[in-house]
Parts: sequence; C-alpha cells; structure tokens
Amino acid sequence: MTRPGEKGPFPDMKHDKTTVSRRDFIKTALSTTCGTFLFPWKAAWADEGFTPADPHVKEAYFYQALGGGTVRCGTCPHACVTQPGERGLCRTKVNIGGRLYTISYANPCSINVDPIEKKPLLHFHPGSRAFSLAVAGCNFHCLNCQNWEISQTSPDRTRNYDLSPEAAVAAAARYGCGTIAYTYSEATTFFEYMVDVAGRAKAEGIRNVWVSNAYISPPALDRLCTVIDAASLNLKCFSDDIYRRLNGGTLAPVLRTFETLHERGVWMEIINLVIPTYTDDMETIARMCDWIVDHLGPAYPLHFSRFFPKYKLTRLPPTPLETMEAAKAVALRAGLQYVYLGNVPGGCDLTRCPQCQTPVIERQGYRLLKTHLKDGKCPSCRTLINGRWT
Amino acid sequence: MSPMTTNRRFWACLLALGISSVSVQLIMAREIMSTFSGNELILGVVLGAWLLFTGLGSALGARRAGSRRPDALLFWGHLVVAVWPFCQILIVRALPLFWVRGEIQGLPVALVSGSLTFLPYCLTAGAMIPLAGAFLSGKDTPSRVYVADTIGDILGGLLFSLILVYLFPHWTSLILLAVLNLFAAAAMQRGPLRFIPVVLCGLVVAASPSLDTRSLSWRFPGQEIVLHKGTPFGQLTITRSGRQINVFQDAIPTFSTHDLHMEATAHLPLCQVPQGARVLLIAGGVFGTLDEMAKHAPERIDYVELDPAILALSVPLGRAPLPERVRSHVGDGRLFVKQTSATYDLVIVDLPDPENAQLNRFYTKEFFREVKAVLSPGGVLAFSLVGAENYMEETGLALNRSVFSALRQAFDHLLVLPGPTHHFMASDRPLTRDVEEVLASRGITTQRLVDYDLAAMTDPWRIDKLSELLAGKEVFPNSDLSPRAFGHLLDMWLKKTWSPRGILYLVFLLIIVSAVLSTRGNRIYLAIMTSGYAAMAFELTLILLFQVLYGYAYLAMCMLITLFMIGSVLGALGSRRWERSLRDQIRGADLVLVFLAVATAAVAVLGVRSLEPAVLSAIQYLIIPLLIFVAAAATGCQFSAASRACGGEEIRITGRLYGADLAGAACGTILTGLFFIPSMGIIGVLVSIVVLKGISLLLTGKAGLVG
Repeated sequence: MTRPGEKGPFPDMKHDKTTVSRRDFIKTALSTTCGTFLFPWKAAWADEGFTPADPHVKEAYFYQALGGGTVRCGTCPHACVTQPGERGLCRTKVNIGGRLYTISYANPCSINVDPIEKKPLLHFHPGSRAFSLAVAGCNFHCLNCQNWEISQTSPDRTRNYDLSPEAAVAAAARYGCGTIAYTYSEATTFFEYMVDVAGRAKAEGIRNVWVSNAYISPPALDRLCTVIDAASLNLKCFSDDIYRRLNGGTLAPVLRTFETLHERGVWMEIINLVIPTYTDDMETIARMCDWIVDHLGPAYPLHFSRFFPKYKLTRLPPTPLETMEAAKAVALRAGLQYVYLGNVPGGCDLTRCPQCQTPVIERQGYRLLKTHLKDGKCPSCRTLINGRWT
Repeated sequence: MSPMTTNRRFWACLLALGISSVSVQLIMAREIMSTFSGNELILGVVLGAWLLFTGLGSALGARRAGSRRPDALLFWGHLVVAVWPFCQILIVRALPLFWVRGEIQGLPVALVSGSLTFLPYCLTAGAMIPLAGAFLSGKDTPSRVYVADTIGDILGGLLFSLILVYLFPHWTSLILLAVLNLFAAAAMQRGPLRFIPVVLCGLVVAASPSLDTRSLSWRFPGQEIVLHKGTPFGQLTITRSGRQINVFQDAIPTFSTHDLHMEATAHLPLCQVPQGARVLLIAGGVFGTLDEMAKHAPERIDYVELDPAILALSVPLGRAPLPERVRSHVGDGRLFVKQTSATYDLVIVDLPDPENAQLNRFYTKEFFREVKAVLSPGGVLAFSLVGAENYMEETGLALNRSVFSALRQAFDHLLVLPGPTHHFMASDRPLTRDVEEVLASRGITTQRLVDYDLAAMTDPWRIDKLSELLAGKEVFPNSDLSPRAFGHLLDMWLKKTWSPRGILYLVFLLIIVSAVLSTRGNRIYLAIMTSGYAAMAFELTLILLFQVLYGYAYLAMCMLITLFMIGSVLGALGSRRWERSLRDQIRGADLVLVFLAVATAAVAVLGVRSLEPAVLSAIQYLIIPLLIFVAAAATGCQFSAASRACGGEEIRITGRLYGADLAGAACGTILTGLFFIPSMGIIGVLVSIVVLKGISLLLTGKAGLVG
C-alpha cells in the first residue's frame, strides 16, 4: 500500500476506509473457523432418519436399557453405550428413541458363491460351495483389512441387495450351495440377520459358517452356537497390545470365544495372519500354539496366513516364506496336528494323517483334487482325521 | 563497507540461498514422498505450505530489515540454512516411528508435521531475501534482488536436476549445500570470531553422514538395506528380510521375491492373442512379467521402462539377462507409442494406478486411441486398475468408470476381469473369458493364477456384475485435458486414510485468505499475487500439456523449468530498460497473461485433437516453450515494474512483493494441482487464470491512473 505522503505511479490507490480492516478480517475468519470446529455437528446430524418401520431396521437382540434413553449394546465386547440418535463403534447399531436397533438387516452389499476352501475351511465338507454374503460394518478397524470397502463403512452408505432371510436361503439352494457363509465384513455386526438366516437355513438342511474376528459377547455367542455348524475365526495375534494397535480390540474376549465354541462342539479353524515386525515373533507364536493345544486340543486346523500390504498397512513388505515355514514348524512342534500356510501357493494342498503322515486330502489351490478319507479316518492307519466330512 | 564488498556479499548471499533453497526444496519433496505414500495431494499441500511460509518469511524479513545490521542477520541465516535441512530430513524420516509402524498417514498428519518441520527453514530463507536487498540502495533494489534470487534458483535447479540427483544421495547433497552456505556465512562478516560458529557447524555437518544410514533404516523396519539409490524419478531401495528381496520405490513396496501378481498381468492378455504374438510391454518387466510372457513364445517383446535404474534391477534381483527376443527401451511409454513404426498384437501397460497427472496419461481416451493406431487388426490392449474382490466402493468405482468410459470410446469389445485388481482388456474383436482353457491348451502352468484366482476372476456372475456396474452410469471419460481418474484416486486416498475433506477445504481457504492478505488491499500487490498464481498455474499446466503431447522426458522437463526461470530474469531485466510507463508494463503483463491463457487453451485443444506430426512438433518444440518463456517474462517484467511503482522503503517493498508473489504461487500450486486439474482439467486452470488476471487488469486500469 502506498503510504501517505509517498508518491507512486498510482497516486489514486488509497486505503478504502469503508472496507473491512485486516484486524477485523482476521478476527472474523478465526471466529468462523473456530466456530466451525466447535459447533456440535454430531448432535446436529445425529438424527439420520432411521425408522423401525424400515425392513432393514430391526431391534437388536442383545442390549440393555440404562435409563434416560441410554442403552448399552450387548452384541460384542465393546458394549457401546449410546444416546438416542447415536451409533455404536460398528456403525450398524443405532439408538432410536431409547431402543437399540440394527440397520444391517436383510441388506447385504456383497453376495457370491465361493469354494468353502476360500473361507478358509479345509476340514469342513471339502469341495462344497458356500453361498457367501456380507452386510457392511465391522467392530474392528484392522489396518490391513482386505475388505475395508465394506468393513469400514455402514449399510446406509453401500449399494445393497434386498434379501430377506427366506430369500437368502432360497438363493443358496438355487445356486446349489450346501452352506451359507457369513463373511467378508464382520458377521457379528449383522448378528440379527445372520441368526435369522442361519435358523431358516438349518431348518432347510443348509449348513451355516461364521467367518469372524471372534469378537462377540458371550450371550450373543451362545445364541449363535445354536444355529451355526462351523466357524473360520481369526486369532490375529497373541498380544493384547498388538490387538489394540492394529485391530482396535482386545485378546481376552477372542480367546473366550474359541473356548466356548470348543465346549459347544462347533467346528472351527483358526487363522493367524503373520505380519512382519508385528506378529512374526516366534516366541509369541509358540505361546499361541501352546494355548491352543492346552485349551482347545491339537486337532483344530491352524492356518498361518501370509501378509500382503493392504488398506492402510502398505509400508511393510510381504511376509517372507521362510518366516511362514518357521511359524509352521513352531506350531507342529507345539503339537498341533493340522497346520496350513495361507496365501502361499501349495501351502494348503495336502492334509496328512497326523499319525502316519499319509496324504488324506489333496487339493490344488482352492480345488479339491481327491479325498482318501474313509468314514473320516485315515485309509492307512484308521486314525480319526478331525473335521466335518459328511 | 565499500560498494564492491556490499555488492559481493549481496550476490554471495542470494546465489547461495537460491541454489540451496531450490535444491533443499526438491530433496525434501522427495523425502516427503517417501514418508507419506508418494501422494501428489500431500506433495502439493506441503509444497504450497513451503511457498507460503517463504513468502511469510519475506514479509517478516522486511520488517526486521531496519532494526539490525543485515550482514549479522544474514550470517546467522546462512548457518540456519546450512544446518536445518539435516534436521528436516531426520524429522521427516523419524515421523513414521511416532505412529503405527507401516501405516499410511492421512492429510492432517502430513500437513501439520510437514509444515512444522519446514517452518524454520522457510521463514529464514524467506526473510533473507529482503535482508540481502539491504546491501543495495536505489529504486531498482527489489528488481535486482529478484534477478539475483532467480539466477540462484536457476543454478540450484540445474545443479540438483543434472548433477546432484545422479551422483549423490540426499544427505551428501545437503552436505555440499551446507558447505556453500557456510562459505556464504563467512563472507557476510569480518573478524576471526565469525569462524567459530562456522567451524562448529562445519564439524557437525562433517560428523553427520552416519545418521543418514541410520535414519534411512527407520523406514524399513525389520529389514536390511541392500541398496538405496536416488534417481531422477524417485528413490529406489532394495531390502532383504531373511532370504526375501524387497524392492521399494519411494518407500512403497513394489515387488518382493515370491510375489506372483505378474502371472495375471502376463497370462490374462496373452491368452487373448495367438502364440508368437508381437507384444509391447510398458513397465514392470523386470519383476517377472517377462518370464511369464515368455511361456507364450511371443515373436518379439518391446519392453519400455522410464527409469533405467529399474532395468538395472534385474542383477540384484537375480533375474536372468533379458532373452534375445526382448528388446528393452529406456524412455516414456507414451512417447514410444507415438513414435514407433512397429505394430503389435498386444500392448500391456503395467503401470501404477493414475495417482498423478503424469500417470493419468496412460488411462485416457487419447492414449487408448494412440495405442489402437499401433495395434494390428484385432489387437488387444491390457492394463489394470485398483479393484475390489467383493465390493467396489464409490471412489474406486468412479475411477474405474471414468477409465472404462474412455476405453469404450476407442474399442468395440471390453472385458474387465474382477478381483482385488481389475484387469482391463480391450479389442475390436470379441475377447475370451476362458483363460484356463487357453493356458491348458498351451501347456502353461502357473503357481497361483489358475489354482487360486482365476475361478473368481472368470466367474460369470462376478464379471457380469462388474460390467453392469461400470457401464451402468454415463460418466465423463478420463482424458488428457481433464484427468478425472487422477481426481477420483485422490478422493479414494482421502477416504482410505480417513482424511476429512474439510481439512483440504480448510487448506484451500487458508491459502486463499493468506494470498488475499498478502495484497494489503493494494492493487499492485494484487497484480503480483495473481501473477504468482498465474505463473505457477502456467508452469504446471504447460508441463502437463507437454507430457501429454510429447511424453515424459526428464531433461526436457528440466529445460522447460529452466526456461521459465530464465524468462523471469530476462523479463525483470527488460522491464528496467523498457521505456513504457510502469503502469503500462504492469497492465501489459496482465494482458499478456490473459492472452496466453486463451492461447494455451487453444493450443491444448488443437494439440490433443491433431494427429499431424508437423503440428505436434510445432506445439512441442516451439509453441509450448514459447508460451512458458513469455508467461515467465511477463511475470518477471511485472515484478520489476511493480517494485519501482511502489512507494516506500526498498527492503520493505522487496519483502512485501515477495510475500505476495509467493502467496500467489502457493495458491497456484495447491489449487491447480489439487483442485482445478483433477476436477475441471487444464481448461479449468486456464479459466481461473483469465478470471484472476482479468480482475487484476480491471482494478489496475481504474479511472484516475496516470502513468
């Protein structure tokens, strides 16, 4: 700005007194910015227009009213406490007028027919096909999620099918699937839908498979055990600290789930993702394997899965194959009878009899080549091979 | 002090500052790319903040100019400029240690941590510019400062781009630049005492190299660094974890031994053409794609790789030498397609997703047409894009749709195989889904593709669902002048990292407010600020246009940027000798910039539509360099004229003009790179220049102005 008394080639350019001063401008801009951040947007946008009349909204099966419109969700160990208009961590449970509702009912966003080996379940009706469905949502926020597009969002933000439990069971039968798998996202977050579909499927003679992070409350799990036939469960690591940092959960409830399924006789296979510098410590893996043997026995398959950079955990290289082999050796030394390597070509191709090492099932990738089992036993030494075969 | 001494100090200061600040800026940009996902959005925001803080430093420096002897301040300034870049590198490399290991970070973290890291350097360097002007006197002081600073910038740009980047790692380059600044510091003052801090700083710098390797390892936890190499295109690192070899480009994992993704890259398209095909492969070959391709016994493979350092990786990766039938070419893939006289049965593009405007050129309707021109009848084009195995979310879907739409304009038959990566194939004849049968008939086995992935990829239900999704909505096709795919990928990154869009808008708002404030309600400063915007917008736009029409040629890019800076210097020098009134020069420059924006739009439209070699050559070699030069000369001329047109103390004028110019340039960098190009394309940028310079022209031409 040309100062008073100074002459330049633009002498008419004077400060316009009618304009806003710089001080006022800065004050206004700062106030507006602060106001924008301080404004209670959450409260203003809390009412998202969900209504119990919506066919995709259903009252949650497990919750507790705490008074004053506040409720505590009972589906998973997060036990989210919500005020009217608020959602839980999973984004699928909404407090509407002091009652807790799920908004993930009969609105799957992904439906496919997969080989059961892809879940992965290698000791559960090998070679069969699973009608796989998912509703958006998850109660974890794993940094390496391979389905982040549907797990880290909610059903009101995805393109969904309208698929009632009856229609889901009918579709599974139509596509010749003997199993329905609740998978891809976190099935616990669409618990009500899963339980209803599974109940109908069971009545129709169709099996149910729960693919999950095992982070579920004991009452919900009890109910689920009445309708499911098998579970493919992630034991992401054997460290509470890493569970909190990478996944947003804790270890103890997960272990409790494994114990409960074992007690209830539900078939399960355990998946452990080996992530470089996080879950590749052999001592921790040894402790995990010892726990499995001690609490669940040696006969449940353990799948070590090779890590590849995904979602937000993209600055780490894939797990070296030798680390995978080392983890397998640790598990076998601990006494586990069936140890597989996922995401490693050939890593699941053979199931051997733990007694005589005779190959009892041969696969090529996700394809079943041959099963030599006789009544679920090794054809050579007649040792029982654990699993659900017929 | 004698005039000769002051003159010498003036030049020593500004040349050392110009050389080092440009080099440090380029080094830090590359380090930032390695720490924050190699993302253009972060790079744009951080570079914008860099310019803004430097402008702020200039404005603050002007205030301090009268209070102390400039030589004393400049002495300490050079010491800071010499030493702080090492701290910057250490901080930028250490940042990942403060969050979850291996996790990509979003915009807020990058913006705050990056800005705070650079703040001391930018404020100091910015403040030194007007302070150096205190060595001079006279009305043309700001203009001389501008010329000296820009010459320093030119030398710095050339030094880094043509010498340092090839010969030295970043740390060593910083040591050389530190030595330069320590000499400059010593030249600022007299007396033996001045040597004490200079020598101390020199000792610290000399003892620092061990920190380089240690700090580098922070980026690669649990791995042994086998090779770390800077190339003009980024930083290449090879690490070893156990027996596994990992290749990183800008610290992003690119390849590891036992990766098998190349099976899909090679076999899916090669199953679409007969054995013995002639194939063009753009990028990715050394990571195993060539080995897989060889299974189909192609007659010839032309393999084009931009970075020769990638080609050289075959040795550390333990790959066999390229077979005879493979001919490797170093250069830009698109340029190769334009220039080749050969025809191919198959063109495979194995590049990363269109995560910047440069890469976007390989996913546009114009590129697809160029490829079609080199394909034999019924030939096939293949490439891949980010996909999703079970559900495609909205930003990824928009990206895929914009490319699908562009592809549909060039080819009759499209096949997109679903999966975590979508494999696009296009031809003018029908394409087969039965890849497994073709592989079996040729006796080709794979480790992963057939047994694990192919069933889901070729599942009719999944293919049809994806096709319906991609074709289900009419969208703007991705094009050279309007790189929508790049914009969608930025959206996807924001979503993935949970970066609130509001942060981006807040950055836009802050940068615009800063630019407006830098004008101080004065029309001359407004003209300079808007010219700063226009200059940066022109530079980015014309370089992108050059890449689109010609191709990515590193030396050509360097030359264009150098030409821009030479234009600025000559414009500033010319202004001092030009006899037209200062008002005419200021308004004339505005008018020229408006005209150039319109002319650039016309050239852009003509260039992408024309297939005439003569027209394209004229645009590439004559018109674009001329436009860059004239735009720079106009802004340089205007800066010089404005500096003489402003009344008041020269140093203050220098600081304020620099403040306005750099604030405008920051706006140009951020808004052009992150808003206009991804959402409205090149034409949107040019319209913004016309509007801004039109406003400036109107205001400087108000009644009552007398030259």
